[in-house]
Amino acid sequence: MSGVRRAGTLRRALRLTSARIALGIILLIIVLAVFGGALAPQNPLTQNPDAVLRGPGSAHWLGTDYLGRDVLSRLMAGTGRSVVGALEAVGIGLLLGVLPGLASLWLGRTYEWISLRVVDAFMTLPYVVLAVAVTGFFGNSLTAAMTAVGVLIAPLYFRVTRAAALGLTRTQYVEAAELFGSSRRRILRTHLWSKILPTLAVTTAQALASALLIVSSLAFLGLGVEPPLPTWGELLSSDLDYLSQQPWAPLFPGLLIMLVAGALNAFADAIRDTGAANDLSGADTVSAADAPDDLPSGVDLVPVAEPVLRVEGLRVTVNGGRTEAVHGVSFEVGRGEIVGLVGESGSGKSLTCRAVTGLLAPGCERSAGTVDLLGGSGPVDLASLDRAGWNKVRGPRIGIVFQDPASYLNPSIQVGKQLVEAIRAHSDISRTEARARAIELFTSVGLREPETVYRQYPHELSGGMAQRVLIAIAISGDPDLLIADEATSALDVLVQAEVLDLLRGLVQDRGLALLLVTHDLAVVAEFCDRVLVCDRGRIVEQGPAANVWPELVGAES
Amino acid sequence: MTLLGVSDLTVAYGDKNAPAVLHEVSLEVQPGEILGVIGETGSGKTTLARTIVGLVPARSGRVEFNGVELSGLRNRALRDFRRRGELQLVFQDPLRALDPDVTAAESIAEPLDAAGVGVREERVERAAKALAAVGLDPSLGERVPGRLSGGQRQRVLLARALVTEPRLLICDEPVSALDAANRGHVLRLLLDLRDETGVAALVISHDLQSLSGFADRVAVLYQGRIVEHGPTRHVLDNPQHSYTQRLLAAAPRLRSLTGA
Repeated sequence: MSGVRRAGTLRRALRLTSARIALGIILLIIVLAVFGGALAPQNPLTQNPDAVLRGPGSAHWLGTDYLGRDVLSRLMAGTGRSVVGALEAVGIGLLLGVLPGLASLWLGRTYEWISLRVVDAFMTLPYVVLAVAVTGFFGNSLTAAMTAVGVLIAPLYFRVTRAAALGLTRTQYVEAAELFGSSRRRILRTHLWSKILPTLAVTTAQALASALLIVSSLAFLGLGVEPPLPTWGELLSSDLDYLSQQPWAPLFPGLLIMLVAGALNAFADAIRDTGAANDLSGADTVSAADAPDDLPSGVDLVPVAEPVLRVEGLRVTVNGGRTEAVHGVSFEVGRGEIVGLVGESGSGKSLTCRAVTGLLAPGCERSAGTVDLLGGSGPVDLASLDRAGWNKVRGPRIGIVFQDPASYLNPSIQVGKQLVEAIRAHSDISRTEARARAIELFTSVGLREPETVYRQYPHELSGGMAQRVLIAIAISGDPDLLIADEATSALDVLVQAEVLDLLRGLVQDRGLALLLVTHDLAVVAEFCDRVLVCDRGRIVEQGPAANVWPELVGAES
Repeated sequence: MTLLGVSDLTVAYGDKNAPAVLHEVSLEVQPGEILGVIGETGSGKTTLARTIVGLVPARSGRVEFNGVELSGLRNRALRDFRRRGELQLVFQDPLRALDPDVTAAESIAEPLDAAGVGVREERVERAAKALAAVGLDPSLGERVPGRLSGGQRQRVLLARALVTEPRLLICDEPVSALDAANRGHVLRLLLDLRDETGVAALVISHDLQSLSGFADRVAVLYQGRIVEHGPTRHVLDNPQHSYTQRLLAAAPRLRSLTGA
């Protein structure tokens, strides 16, 4: 499985132009590293006293150095040693970092405490000092210098591995595995590796870039240089001695190092960004695709008086476009209106909601239809928004509340501060003003003792309180539209009723439009002005709850 | 003989002075019995489930399973007990309790793999059987959780717990994430399994009506204490504690609707 997933991440990453260019550069460097010496137009070691310090020309494209050696050939031939040096450093870092990092989770508190202190100590050590010490001890060779760099990269791997694994060991599926009596090795193999590896890949790309830069800086100090064998760093430093005669000379190795480091970092970014999107893969993504042939026909769009949201002919595909799961959904939500979107798991309601909020999981895509935000400061075509566009819309135009408030709050930051961050992300006010506004918002969502809540951490709040905090964050940008995706499903009946009352009050006081996505018919019948019933990817019925289920609402009165 | 006996269980998170989340909770489950534990968010329900299976240490009190004191098991003995699979926890949220990269069939076989039961073919076959037992098409076994619906995931979770043929299931809100139709299916399934295999269950819920007509007995957990317990019908018809009364008063309006 893990292989499949990684391949998927790589493929998604390569959709980015920057990632394709970066990969091209990296491949080119690999070719140069392997065949650079053979491909070089001249022998990189052949000295020519008649042609020292020549400028670029037809005989020597990049000129010659102080011994008359061809610079281009030395650059090409030096690629191999530079790359191997960087790989050596990263390899040592991996070896010394990853295993102790994993062990720090499992070998008990004493080992954990000691290893963390050792890592802290190493992180404060300047690499130049250590490199000087190591090369002084083992002799001035590239390997010695790279060993020093590797030892200094190890703490990075230790921390990255530990952090990634620590988060995973607290997941319920690892807890479940422990309850089955799984051995640690099995847990590591089944549940941890596939998730740590992409993180390690990103770290490795970045570490390679740093190692290249460090080896060049060290060469500048004469560390790790073994004349006459060329490396990029050695070229850079030897050129500097003749700077007055050849001011352009450091440009070539310098540019090459920058190019490679840049490509590695760009590639790492691409993997990380597309990999991070995995975390959004959410509920109810596919089963609507299993719809049998006897599909119900969908209802047409029913216009409302003051529309805030208009969805027209929305189609969503899953499985990377192979299956359509939402087949042309149309509806409007008006100002001051509470609209319930109901349906069983797999009816397509969550997909519809995610398409509207721009949170479709990877592999799911809007294939047709429009989603428009109306009113307020002018219409916005939500379907056309990129990430930056969404950042401008989420908050000031749309507020979203999810089922599980705890997982949308940062566990290590006071909830008040998180609200202040949300406020300041969208308005240009001072921290003090934002704090006052946060207290106001906490009061308006019915949190008693808002000052106390402000200083509390998410784990100190009950489910109902955390949901109120999330609602406060959702309305902090003063949006026109609030979307509640199963926002009360995890709460018990008493708290649920309170939160629903709060939402109703907000709709009335602020003229919000509220789209309530839920599977709970009781909530919808009791609470919504209008109901949209989702079934197998279509809206099959819509209207006031009393018309849609006369028997339900009748039972209530 | 009592299958599960919890006596005077007190649990607190943090140091000695931290307030207790559970106060001297005692309960029993007999073989083949379904005990419902009801309580609101924050009442300590989930902590109770996690303490029984040993994910959370107790401050004091005992948990006995089939005559063995679980709270006394350490390392090797604990692992051996777990590998027998007689006691299984069904987690609340299948999206979190299933590894997103592991297929349903592999997840279901995991308890067998961990225990090293039989040969691989046998484990695969038993996983397929468990999948069928919870009413899922065998082809769904190839899917990862992200490609299953909420109801299907919940069944996969149940199948994973059933694959070791446990004597007791501890279900933490087994149906709260499901819609009305799937809720009924899953509860029906638990009842059928009890009739067929004699498995007992401790079912935790915040939803009173999902327990009525399902649990043999209920215990009401309020602020970390069991405030009321007895046969389900008895508690529903004649609630003694004010919290139970409030809970029942809040429910009818919803009960009359969700039933339809």
